[in-house]
Amino acid sequence: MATIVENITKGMSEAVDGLKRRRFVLRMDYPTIFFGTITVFLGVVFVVVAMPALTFHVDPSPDARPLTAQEEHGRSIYASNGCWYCHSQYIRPQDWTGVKSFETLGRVAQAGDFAYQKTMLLGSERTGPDLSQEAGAHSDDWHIAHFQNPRYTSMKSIMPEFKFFAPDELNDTIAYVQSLGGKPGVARAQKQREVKSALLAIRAQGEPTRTLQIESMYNPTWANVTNPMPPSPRSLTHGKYIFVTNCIGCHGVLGDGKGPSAQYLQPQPFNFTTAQQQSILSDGQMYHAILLGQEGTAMPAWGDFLTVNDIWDLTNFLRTIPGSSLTSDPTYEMWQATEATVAKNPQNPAKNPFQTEFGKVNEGSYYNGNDIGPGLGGSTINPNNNTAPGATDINKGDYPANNGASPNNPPQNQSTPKP
Amino acid sequence: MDKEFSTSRNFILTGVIWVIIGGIAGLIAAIEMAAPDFLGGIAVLEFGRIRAVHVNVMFFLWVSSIWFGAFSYIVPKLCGVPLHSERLGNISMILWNVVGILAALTLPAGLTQGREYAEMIWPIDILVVIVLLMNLYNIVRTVLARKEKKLYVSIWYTTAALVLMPMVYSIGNVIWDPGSLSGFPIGPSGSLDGIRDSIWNWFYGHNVLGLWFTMGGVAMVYYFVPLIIRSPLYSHTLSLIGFWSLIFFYTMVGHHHLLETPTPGYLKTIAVIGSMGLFVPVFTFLGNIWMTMRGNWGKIYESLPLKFLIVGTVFYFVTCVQGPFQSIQGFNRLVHFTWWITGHAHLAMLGTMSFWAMGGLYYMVPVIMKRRIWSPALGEAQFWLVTLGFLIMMLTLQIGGLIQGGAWLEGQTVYAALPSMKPYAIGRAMSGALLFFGFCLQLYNIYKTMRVGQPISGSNAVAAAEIPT
Repeated sequence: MATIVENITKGMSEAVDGLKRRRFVLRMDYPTIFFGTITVFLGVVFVVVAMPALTFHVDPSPDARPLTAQEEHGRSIYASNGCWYCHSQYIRPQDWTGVKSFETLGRVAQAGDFAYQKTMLLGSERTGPDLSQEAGAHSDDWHIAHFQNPRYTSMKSIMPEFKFFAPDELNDTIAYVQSLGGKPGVARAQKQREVKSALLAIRAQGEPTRTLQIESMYNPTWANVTNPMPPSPRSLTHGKYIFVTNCIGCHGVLGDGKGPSAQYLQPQPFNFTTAQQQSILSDGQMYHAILLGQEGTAMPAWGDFLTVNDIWDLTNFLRTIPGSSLTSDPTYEMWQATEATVAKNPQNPAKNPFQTEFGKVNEGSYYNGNDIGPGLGGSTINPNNNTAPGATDINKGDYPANNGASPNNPPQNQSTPKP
Repeated sequence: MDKEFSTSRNFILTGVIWVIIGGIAGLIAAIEMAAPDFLGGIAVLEFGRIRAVHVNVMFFLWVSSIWFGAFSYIVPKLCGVPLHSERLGNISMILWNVVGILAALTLPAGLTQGREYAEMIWPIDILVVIVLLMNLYNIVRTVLARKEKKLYVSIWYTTAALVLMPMVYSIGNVIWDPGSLSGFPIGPSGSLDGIRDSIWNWFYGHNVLGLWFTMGGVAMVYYFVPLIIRSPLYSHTLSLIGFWSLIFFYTMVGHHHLLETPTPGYLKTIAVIGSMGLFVPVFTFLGNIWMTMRGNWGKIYESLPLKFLIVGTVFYFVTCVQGPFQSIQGFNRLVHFTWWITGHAHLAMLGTMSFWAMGGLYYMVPVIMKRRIWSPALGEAQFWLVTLGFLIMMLTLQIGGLIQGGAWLEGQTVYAALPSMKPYAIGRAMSGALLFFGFCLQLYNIYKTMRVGQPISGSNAVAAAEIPT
């Protein structure tokens, strides 16, 4: 036993001595550097570049579809203008892409989705939303307005304006965007177009039909849902803030559906300024339209960006727009632009702040709801009443009366648009 | 054209001019991020186009020009012979500027390959590879004709950079296939079909940094730092380990840009392991340089080039700690797609590579021109403007990126999280103005040095490079 241990110890010390004698030397002569570099590099390249290129062939996924010539042209415009720097084109397992993905269930990208594409436009940043399932999330008209100036439809967007697109470039780009999402995406975009023409046909027949049609578009249970949020000053102020920071691009600062993007949209954005229009939708239906959007129109699903609370407060606020049915309730104050707001927009010769070139107007007026909302933020409050508007409780009836504005006597500095 | 070091001088001078052009493009892009209607509707100045100009000019015409200039300065100095052919070098310099002019004209026109860091269209790609091969030939011939037998570590890195970059560039641009994406204004472009293409794209996207910019930068630091402090390199064994591990590990890591794409899992594993392995070349290099600096740290107050180089190594340290952590799946989930990554990219290319480029050029310019730097104080002002601007840029982008990534993990949509990014976009644009101003000072200082800098005799040239501040 002792001999064995001795032998092992001896053997080990001999081995260590041997290692000590052989010094580790790598001679760095020039051929070693030159060809060694190439060898190490190509060895790794074989593993990480050549092998996947040779072996990673994926069948097209069930959703994949080759692009049409027009869509391919749109894709080259998309690549040309560097859209892919800010918009990714794959959904990761952890991504929640919002309500618009109700139909796609936030479909995670599969390798086969890209089978028909050459030159990947996956993107490396997501300053803008992922577009891999974008088709049908918005209508074609929405895209037209949005490319003109993204702030027309999406006020917080920092996307560049693409008004330099020639008409065919615009069409092809939209065709490409409306193809993102493969076969189901194209079907969604097609449904948008079908609903649009159906809506336009019905509207052409006159208002009563239209009312019926809109009612029939929602699940009947929505019609009976009432707003659970009392129209308190808090709710109305907040609703106004939501409206001013999200909606006026299409619905206009007056709520008359004549925002800067309205010129591009068919059907026209909803007009909140008449009782007849407002009565088309119950509170529940209005909530539904905001949450999930209105197929066939440019109204997107705001549930992507707004909370339940936001939407109910907004619904409360929309009822305070002058001319709407509920403004006869004396506890509400009217939607009216103040002189201060009008004066704040020197670019507007007509002294109407709401029809100026949208993107150019003093930005503060869009983000500061106090200036342009109805009553609550100090529009037509009786100057003799020193009570801070936010501190009053309209439910107790001590809210300051407005300056004679009522459904029968609209404010003078505001035109009442025809629906 | 055959004057000694004229290649080096001309590359450096053109690089100093190009950084202004890249800076204008970057500043426009940054302002557009903060104020999207600024210059709205001008096609050639649209963000997606001007960003490509910024990135390509900064990569290839600013940093790479200084690299070429440094290579054709360092290698002859270390070999004890003149550059094999100054004429060849100068022709490559002219071609390289043709690349720049073509890129600055085609990219705003919408002619792009649609590949990140490889936007330049196929004909320009060919020119790029030609220039690289010309320089490779020139450097190899110089080394083979050397009088100094020992090959210093900077020569290894210089050779490896010039050997590897043409291969990396050709693979990344799929240069043998100029056919696809040829609609609209988009130009001829190389690519593969299917998602395999992104594997090649990002193999290139990371190795242009690792095997070109890092290699070249490390070569410069290894050369200039011991020279300025007049102290031998701490360990040649460390530089040996760093050299081979850099090639081995960096080649693996490209796929960490695609960790959550539907691509083969083994590539992701290799990329994460390789990213972790990068600690080896990074810390052997940094350890080596910082140990070399022992007892001489005070000299960064005496020498402007050393100040740029050493501050660059500090930012390199930060870059190379961030990088491996970003490649870990858990952290990648938070920061991928966010502005954090933009901040990281600036940390590498601005904080590290541009600082090394500035340090190198402030050493080389006086030696080559045999004139003292016109105003060391202006160089000092430039240092602080660039340092401050860079730090603000990195912090705003990375803080903003964490807020963005956190909002997404919380379940917010991209659009809903956008308003919280606005302050950081504004801060970033401000930092860009500081940087731009700093680079303008550099151009002015180098111009005045060339014109009216105090002449010095050849023997004092090296001493003159240690610019007192």
